[in-house]
Amino acid sequence: MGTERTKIITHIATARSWLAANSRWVLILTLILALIFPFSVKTYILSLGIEVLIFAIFAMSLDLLLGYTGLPSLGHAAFFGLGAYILAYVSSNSELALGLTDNLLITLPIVILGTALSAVILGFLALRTSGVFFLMITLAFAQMLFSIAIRWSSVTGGSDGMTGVPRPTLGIGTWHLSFTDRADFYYLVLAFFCITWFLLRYIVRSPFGLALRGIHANEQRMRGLGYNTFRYKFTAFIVSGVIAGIAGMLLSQYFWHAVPHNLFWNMSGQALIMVVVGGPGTLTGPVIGATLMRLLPNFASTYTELSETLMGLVLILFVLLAPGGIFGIFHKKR
Amino acid sequence: MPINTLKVSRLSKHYGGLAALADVNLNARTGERRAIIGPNGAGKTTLLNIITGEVKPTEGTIFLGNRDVTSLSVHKRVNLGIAYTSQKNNLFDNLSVFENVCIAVQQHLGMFQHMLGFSESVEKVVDSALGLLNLVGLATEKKQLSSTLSYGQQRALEVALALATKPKVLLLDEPTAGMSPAETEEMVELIRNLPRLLTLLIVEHDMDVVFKLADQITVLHYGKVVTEGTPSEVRANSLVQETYLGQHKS
Amino acid sequence: METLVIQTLNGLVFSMLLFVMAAGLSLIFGQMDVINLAHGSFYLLGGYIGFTMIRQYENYWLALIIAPVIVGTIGFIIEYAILRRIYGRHHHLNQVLFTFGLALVAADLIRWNWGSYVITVAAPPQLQGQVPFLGIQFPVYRLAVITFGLTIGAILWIGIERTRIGMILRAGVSDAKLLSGFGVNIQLVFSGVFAMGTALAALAGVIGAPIHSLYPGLDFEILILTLAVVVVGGLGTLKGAFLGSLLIGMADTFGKTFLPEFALFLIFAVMASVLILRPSGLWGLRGQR
Repeated sequence: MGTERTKIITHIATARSWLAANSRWVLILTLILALIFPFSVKTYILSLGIEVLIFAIFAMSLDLLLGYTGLPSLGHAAFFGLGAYILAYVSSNSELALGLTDNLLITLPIVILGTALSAVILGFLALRTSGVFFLMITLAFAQMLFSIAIRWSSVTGGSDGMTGVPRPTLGIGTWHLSFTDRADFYYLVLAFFCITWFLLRYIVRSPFGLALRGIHANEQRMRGLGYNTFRYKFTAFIVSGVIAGIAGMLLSQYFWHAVPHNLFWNMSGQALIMVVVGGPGTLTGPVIGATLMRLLPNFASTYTELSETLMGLVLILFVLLAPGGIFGIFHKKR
Repeated sequence: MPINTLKVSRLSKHYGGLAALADVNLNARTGERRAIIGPNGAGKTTLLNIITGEVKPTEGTIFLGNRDVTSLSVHKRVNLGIAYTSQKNNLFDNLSVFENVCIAVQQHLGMFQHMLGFSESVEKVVDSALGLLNLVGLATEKKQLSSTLSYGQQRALEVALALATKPKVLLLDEPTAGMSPAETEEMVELIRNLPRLLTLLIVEHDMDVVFKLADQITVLHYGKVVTEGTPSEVRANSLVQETYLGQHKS
Repeated sequence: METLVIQTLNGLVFSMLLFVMAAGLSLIFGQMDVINLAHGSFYLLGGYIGFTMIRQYENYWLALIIAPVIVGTIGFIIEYAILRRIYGRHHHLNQVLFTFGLALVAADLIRWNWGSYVITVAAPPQLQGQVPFLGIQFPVYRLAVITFGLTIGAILWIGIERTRIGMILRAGVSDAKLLSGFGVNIQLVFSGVFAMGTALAALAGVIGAPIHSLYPGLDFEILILTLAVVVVGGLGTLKGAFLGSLLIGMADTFGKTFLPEFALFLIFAVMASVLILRPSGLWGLRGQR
């Protein structure tokens, strides 16, 4: 038994050091696989791939708060849903919406501005507290937005949401790209995923990221070193909110609609589970988590009626047995 | 010549009906090394916490140089030059020794520079972090997690963090508490070799350490200043001998 | 004028329900530093079990006793078997995450067992009909709920302020470690408090069922409002739970009457103002952690 265990540990360690030594090649290989992905799989799998990437962006944005800064937001769906609704309001051709344009050069800045503004308001309020208070407040705020989305039907379309959201285009003057086709849209999502990944990697490796980890470890000491910790948490909150908003925007473009469910606590819960399962405080972790949590219901399709039970049980299991997530199993605590 | 003076005047702190500090005055000149002694519950730690800003005083004012800092938050006081090492280890456990110091050193760069991370400023941070680690004798341990250091090393790292904020006044809360004699010796040596212009306020129980380091001593008793003066004056004070030194020697 | 009286009474009714909920949530937090995010699920579970009992035995009063006992027992087992095993550096957060997972599972299982349609529950026969009250006709049951809520409040208050168990609980709020020094079995206190808190939620579920009906999703609607109560009122005190419930209950009821689309926005505004003025709640025992 004991030797068996040591053997496994050695194997994991070997795999890990190999991965570390060849991380560049792993990255390049992954990227190539991601690029040829649409040519090699069925439509159904391609759809799954798109969903996984969108949710990976969403989960990574939450991890900046949860895993790096130690801010347990349970209402991250607020920004995810807001991104979806803002995009829908600007570009949908339904009667409720403005139907201005589907050009990303215009819609993306509006989504970024809108979600940033809401993050400023919610962050200013929620960050006046910490710990479980922060958790309760973020959850409550998101749920309030959900309820407004359902009740204020003259603007939001009520429980049906806003339909007729077009897939985006990208164009200046005569130069014009369309992402209506599923495979084309996949590349757009992949591009957003890569940008998010590298942006977040840059942030968490910067002195700013070190400060965020310091706040996670010991906020009081950070103040004692002269840090205005509120400003750091506030900035992280806004960055995280905007990225979640972009993920929500992509989801509404992909499914042609924005629905209240995007704002639901269940959605915040999914993102949270992805982070906890994959490994908080890492960037790979949430991606692994997003992949697993989007694939799991498909493999367990006979149990779709109880898919939330499955999600809940996975969360409970990881909280109980592997608080470091899957990534933490392979990555011995430093 | 910088004015690294700390002036505390008429400071009081009441918890409910209890007075933890009553009308405390304290004046530390530039470069002075002042020890604050007194039996347990005399209000020493409360006094330090009020000076750092963790605790709000009921009454009284605190001046750094000629600036009134009484109403400022903790982090603003640090930026003006009041640094602090606490009684218990207060480090970033899951970060390496090097990262611990970097966090402290990079602080003065400001948040936006943090985000942009200019390479020359990063280099400066690395240089001064390594310098500080050399100073406190932890250069070889820089890659370890701070939680794996020995107790004495952790306290030394605490001092490095405090120094990284470029303080004018450094408050040391029982820097040698819980240390072995050898570790105590090293810590005393480290404190003794700090820049002479840095004003030190040391709360300490070990009278040997106090007499080795301090050139002024304030004696607190039940929240009040009983006496103050040079070590020899305080040693000669009969009240101190009765209430404090006597106890210590027995 | 008439609407004003009716809505004030309705607001009081809802406030009392929220109070019973918030008291349970606050009780658990005061001892264990855990926010039980499955609190709304226990409310709904209590309501459904009560409904099943009423259908089975046609006795509301039996349901009122049995449902909280069953749910309280479930709470006890959950704390005893799982919750206390979750430790670690951020173990309070992990415990909260655990209750969140529990809420997910419970939501699904409840829907699976009782279906996803709206179930209306009749008030007990003794309390049906309406009576004239302050110049209007008002349902007897609702008046009974107000009385009931006040009674629970009084019992809890006396229990906490005047009994030995209450003394242990009050000491636990200031320092749980201290208690074990006095030979109190702290683990048993935790299990008991968790059971008590969940039983209170189930009690609210049974009382609330004739007013709000039962349907999947109600668990989180109630939870969110209960969270709003403790954010506004503060955690760890009965007074905070009571006054917070009054504020939120009234804001919700009047909001729904006069600004139906923005009822929750009104609550948001109340929460936001409290957060700006007193981040740890208006009557909270201590600062947030």
